[in-house]
Amino acid sequence: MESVPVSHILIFSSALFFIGVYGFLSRQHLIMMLMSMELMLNSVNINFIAFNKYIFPGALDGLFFTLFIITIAAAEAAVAIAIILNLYRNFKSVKPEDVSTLKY
Amino acid sequence: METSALIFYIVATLMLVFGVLTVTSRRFFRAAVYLLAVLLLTSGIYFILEFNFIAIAQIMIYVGGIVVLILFSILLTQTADNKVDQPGIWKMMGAFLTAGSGFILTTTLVLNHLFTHSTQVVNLHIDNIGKMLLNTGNDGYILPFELVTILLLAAMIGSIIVAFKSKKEEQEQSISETTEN
Repeated sequence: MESVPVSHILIFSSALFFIGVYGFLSRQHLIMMLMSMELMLNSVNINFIAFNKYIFPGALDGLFFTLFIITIAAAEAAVAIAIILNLYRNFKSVKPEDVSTLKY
Repeated sequence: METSALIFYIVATLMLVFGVLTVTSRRFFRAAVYLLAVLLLTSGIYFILEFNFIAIAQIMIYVGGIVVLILFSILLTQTADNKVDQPGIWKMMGAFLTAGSGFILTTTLVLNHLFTHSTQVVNLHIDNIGKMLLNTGNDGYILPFELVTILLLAAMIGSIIVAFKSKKEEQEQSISETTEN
């Protein structure tokens, strides 16, 4: 694995991150936006692992950050899906622009 | 070229393709399955980088948990042949410009920075990971570990409370159903 320079991994993961950004900004549906969020979190994890492997192999900081990000992503997905189900029950729709009761 | 490097480039290309399909597919189920492919290939990247513990955690939590949750929410809120609306041309252009300029910025920054590869070998033995996770010393992670357990518990209880149907709602629903009949 020494023949892959760390900059290639970083460029690849930033491409994945900005694919997620594109999806988050262009999608008009909460579930699709949640999927784009997962893509972004995933690409950040790849970054952490690459840094831990190639630049700072003395400690395991990247590994633990990745582990905690995975845990928090799971918590975030559970809360987001509870909110989506509640919205669907009250508004019969999960599009962000349909939920405008509080909008002035 | 080394075989593992070749495998890395193939997996990375596949991941980018599936990622683009995830954010452009108009069907919910297909988007979720493409996301599943991206997450599985990510664990492949961790295996190539020899972070086996993270790779297994990725498969168990992302593939076994989060994707299943997303599929559940799709099944509970959509019908099978439901399609998402195509985003408007201005929204698409704006999102594309934001993502593209961000990507160009990071790529130039990464290419202009000189990374020095360390020759040290990272100690990824599972004993070492377990000891560091529960260590109160200098290189221990006991505090974030405890915090994340409390956060996870709070998130689980909170999501159950939010998604729960209240008694009042249920009665109203049953009354409306009986009057319809």
